[in-house]
Amino acid sequence: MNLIKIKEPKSSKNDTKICLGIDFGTTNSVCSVKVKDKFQFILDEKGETLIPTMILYNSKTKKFGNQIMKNESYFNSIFSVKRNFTKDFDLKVYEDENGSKISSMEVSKDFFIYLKNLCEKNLNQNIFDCVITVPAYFDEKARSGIMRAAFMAGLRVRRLINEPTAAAFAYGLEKKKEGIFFVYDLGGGTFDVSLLKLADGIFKVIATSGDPNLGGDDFDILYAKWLVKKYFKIDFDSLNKREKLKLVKKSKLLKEKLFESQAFNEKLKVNECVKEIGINIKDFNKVINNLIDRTIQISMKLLNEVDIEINKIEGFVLVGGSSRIKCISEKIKENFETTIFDDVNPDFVVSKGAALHGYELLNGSDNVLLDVTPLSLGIETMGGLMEKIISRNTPIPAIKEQTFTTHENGQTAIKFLILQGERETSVNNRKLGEFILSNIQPKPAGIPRITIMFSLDADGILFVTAKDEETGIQNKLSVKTNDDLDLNDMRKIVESSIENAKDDIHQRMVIEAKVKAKSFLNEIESVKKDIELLCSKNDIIDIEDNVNLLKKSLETNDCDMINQNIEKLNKVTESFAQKRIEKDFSDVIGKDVDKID
Amino acid sequence: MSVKSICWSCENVIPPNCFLCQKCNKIQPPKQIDEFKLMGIPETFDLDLDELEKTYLKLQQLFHPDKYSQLSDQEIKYSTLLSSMINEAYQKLNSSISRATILLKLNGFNRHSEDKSFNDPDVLEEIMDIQNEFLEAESSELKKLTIQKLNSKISETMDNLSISFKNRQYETANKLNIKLSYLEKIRIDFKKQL
Ligand SMILES: Nc1ncnc2c1ncn2[C@@H]1O[C@H](COP(=O)(O)OP(=O)(O)O)[C@@H](O)[C@H]1O
Ligand SMILES: [Mg+2]
Repeated sequence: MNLIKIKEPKSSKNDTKICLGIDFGTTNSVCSVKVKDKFQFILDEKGETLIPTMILYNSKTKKFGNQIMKNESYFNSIFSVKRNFTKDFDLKVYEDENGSKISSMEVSKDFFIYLKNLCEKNLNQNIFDCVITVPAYFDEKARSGIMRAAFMAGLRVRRLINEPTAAAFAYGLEKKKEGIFFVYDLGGGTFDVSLLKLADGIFKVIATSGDPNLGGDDFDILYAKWLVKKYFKIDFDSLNKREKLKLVKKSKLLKEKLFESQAFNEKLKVNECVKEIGINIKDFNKVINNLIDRTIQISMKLLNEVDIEINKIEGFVLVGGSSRIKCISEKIKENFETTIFDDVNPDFVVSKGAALHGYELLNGSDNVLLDVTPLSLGIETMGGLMEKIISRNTPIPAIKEQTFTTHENGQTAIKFLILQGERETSVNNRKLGEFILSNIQPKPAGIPRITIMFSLDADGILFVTAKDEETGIQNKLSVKTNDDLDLNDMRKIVESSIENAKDDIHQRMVIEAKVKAKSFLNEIESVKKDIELLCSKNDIIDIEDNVNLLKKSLETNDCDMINQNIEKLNKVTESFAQKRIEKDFSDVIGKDVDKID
Repeated sequence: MSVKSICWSCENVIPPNCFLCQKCNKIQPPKQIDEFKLMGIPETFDLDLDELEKTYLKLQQLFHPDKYSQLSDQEIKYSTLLSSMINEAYQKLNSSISRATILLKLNGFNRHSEDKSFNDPDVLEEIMDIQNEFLEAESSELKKLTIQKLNSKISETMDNLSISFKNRQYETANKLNIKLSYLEKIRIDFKKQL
């Protein structure tokens, strides 16, 4: 046994490890933490717990959350960035403080950095570990996007948990409740509903559903539209962008004011025209009625799906800022004849659940959180249909296999398209990625056996492996955007950069350099065959040497050296890259596959 | 039957159907074992589902990846694998149809429960009759009555299935299980139409 390697345990018995609970919301974010036996919320510079998820990039400065004053510049700030995660979050649609184009993911990274710094100031120490909550109905891409943004901010994400699950966890622990509960979470941008069983330290999600694009933001827009139509006889869509924004913000304020007073007068200004109008709750309820009905329908459908009688359910726990709207609880009571538990702060409970879970992850506990996957996962088969491999509401982690075969005689490669969603045809589901399994032994159609393994881990992140049973050739794929890195690789990079980094900024530079290097190395690895085919012996040796050099520097935290070595490798592969573009790639024959029963 | 294995960490011998090393307490790479053994419960059709759930939760309390999040990659991998096997086993044992299928398979009756060649005329007629009855029922009250009838058919079939397992009549059990899966499908169908 190598005695030198044994480290003295650093922590004494009453020294607990710290793990942040981050509720990165569409509208508001909340951070909290449990230190020793005390739970606390993180406060921002203004002493606020609820931090608007807003960023203002202004000539050379960045402002966040409550730092952004409610003046003119307010309208230039970026908000609801989380909504983009269910769309294309890599598009560079924003401009940062230096005028560079950046993506929703980079904006979120900046926001995570801000939150991390706040927490460090509050607790007076460096913090890396966190549990981040995500809407239960978020798909794979959205989940991994959020995780990547947090990684790039230098956070070690210990777990992603679903927002309603986190809420139920905090609620169940605090109120010592047992039984089956509905968690109805209506926030600014998303709607989630989960059915959970709570019993003696067990928090088991039975099923979950929702709409990742339904929330308070939608009420604001609808109400703004209705107001200008009704009182100004103007079509909202005809207004300019700035005017629209102002109205939506105003509409949000009016909506929230209606919580305190059922009717009041208010001055409204549209295109320089000012009118005093009567605002009342009845009109508002009518305007949003369809959207609320939609949340009821989704809840109803979930209940039918799980085959549980309504009288077996203790009641609804309401979560999220928008659940304060009174007609919601009325509608729920009407449709479900059940109890409503509103003895919880709908703004803070999600973050609290994340923090409590994070504490338990790092310090141990007998409680367990068992969750499910919200959407079915599968691959495209013959005729553009989706073959489900893991169906929705399957408990996670889940590992499932399915065997497929080729469609054409002598086919040596198969392209797999990975899909998520409930629709039969693949075009209607979200495309998570595609990968090619090549070097299949040429055989008549229907003979090769290709096994696809879907592995969904406890974060709800998917990893896919395809294997030709004959040759044993494997191809791994983790769902990722463009040329990004596998999340496991990213996690390792974050972990290795935490040790020895001089400070936060240095740590992030290390992460950035390593991520870049690792992606580059992966790219080179994937075209190894072409390098051997297209390059001279000397070039091949040159490339190999530089690959090894870069690999070596990856073991250090010296970002200058890593970047230099990336540059070197770039130089020696330049001519190859050119040659490769010229070569025609058409090894992929057919993309259809058949399922073997 | 199962080969003796040794702990990957301390090389202590691991007894069969054991997931933790008794010496160093490290989680072991899970082996292929049947659902009943995995859950550590007797091989029977008549399971107490509440007890089954308790067993399931206890196992997850031990093996869920949350309990290993601070350990090595290898241990995280094993716990993810084991935890997903436990998830799947629980789901399968929790449903009478797949539980019966597992039992049939364990007793060498390796036919899929939805055998395409299935054409027992009596059962088919029974199914047709109840479907027609549901279609023709004019009020939701009448429809509910049909569902009640269906439910009693289901529990009757379950009882018979249980008896045939006890008597080791696997041929009969297989037939009853196919019938049960048809009835169950109709039940879900009816429920949707209510
Ligand atoms: N009293 C209120 N009445 C109606 N809506 C409210 C009220 N308070 C907050 N909201 C709405 O709740 C939403 C924010 O909820 P929150 O749970 O913080 O969202 P998220 O989790 O998506 O960030 C916003 O749309 C906000 O307008
Ligand atoms: Mg929220």
